Amino acid sequence: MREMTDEIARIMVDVFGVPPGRVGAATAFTELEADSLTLAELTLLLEQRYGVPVADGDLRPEHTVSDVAALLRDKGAAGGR
Amino acid sequence: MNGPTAVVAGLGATVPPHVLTNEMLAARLDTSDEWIRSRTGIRSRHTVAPGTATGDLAVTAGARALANAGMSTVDMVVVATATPDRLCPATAPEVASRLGLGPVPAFDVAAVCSGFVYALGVAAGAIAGRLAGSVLVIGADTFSTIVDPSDRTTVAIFGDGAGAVVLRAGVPGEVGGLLAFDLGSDGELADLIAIPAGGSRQRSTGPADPAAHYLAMRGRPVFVNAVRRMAASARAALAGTGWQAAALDWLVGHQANVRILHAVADGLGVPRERAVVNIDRVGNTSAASIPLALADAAAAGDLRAGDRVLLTAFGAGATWGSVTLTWPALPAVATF
Repeated sequence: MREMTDEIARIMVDVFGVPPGRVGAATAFTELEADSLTLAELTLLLEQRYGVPVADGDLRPEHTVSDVAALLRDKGAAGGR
Repeated sequence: MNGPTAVVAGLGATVPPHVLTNEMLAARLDTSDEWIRSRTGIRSRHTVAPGTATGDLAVTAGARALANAGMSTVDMVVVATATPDRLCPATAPEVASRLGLGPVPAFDVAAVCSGFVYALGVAAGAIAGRLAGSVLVIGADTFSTIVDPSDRTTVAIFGDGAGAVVLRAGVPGEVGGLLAFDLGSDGELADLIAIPAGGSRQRSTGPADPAAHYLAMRGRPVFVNAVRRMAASARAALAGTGWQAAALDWLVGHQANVRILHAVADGLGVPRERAVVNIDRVGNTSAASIPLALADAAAAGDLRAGDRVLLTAFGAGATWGSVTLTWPALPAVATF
């Protein structure tokens, strides 16, 4: 679980240009300066990375990084490769 | 298909002269150049003056493609459009007549932003089936005539234009040949991008709200579906050709949003610099977008004879489609 939250935080940092210190397990998307399409981009990246279907609308602005990790694990994603 | 192969013999494109910049939109709507550019990659788009119709742009693009091909006759005209001059009849017959092409079969293809790829597929089938030895395929749209001028989410995205190619019968393996198609649709997504009124469903249920005559679009699900479908369709066309994505010289995606184009390229493992992008100055021109992008890339000298090219699109319907081709040796293509 820890590994997965770390990796999702890293994806946010790398792909969306968020400062590294600003993303942790408890960080919600609403705290980041992400626009409405950022969640769409993250949906596609997570689906590709973890090989589980992520529906449009699964990720909500109020979700934290650890909420997203839990959601992916519920869908059967394995934590960290 | 065992019949003749469809080969690209000419290319032409046009946009109307009026330029609508982000600054002009920001002066009258709650938006900004930064807001539009960061979300879409668009800086400006061209829009028709009142009285100019899709067919007018289609005639100019068609004439340029015929001149580029050095041809004055074709056996068929196909116009891909979602903004026909009139609901009935189709736009293509009048375009064919205005181009002096005589009594050839002429019809519209309605697959919205995937329309140009669909029309190429129909035309290639007509050539392979020996229904036509040459086809003028035009993608033309004037979405400025159907967007709500006060809706910042659509008015900033769409622009007007037309692009055309001439296809002729050739032999398999010939440079310029269309190779493998993948076309598809999912009507369960029909409401994602739609004009609610103006068709038979609204007419049968009484008068509509005037706003129902404007285009409505749900941005986030469109984004997700566009990337998924374009990437999957592109993979299918590549597999049908026997090409690896890494071997592509150019990925020419429907110019819907630069972030969609980048996500598709990333998903396919194609470097972003191999993705043709001209959305910054034309916006999303629906069925015209792929031929406009091809004309821009050809005029810039980026597209060279023999290059391996993949066209891919997603649009309202939902529809999607991809086709692979090798780029032909064409006379210089004029910029527009």
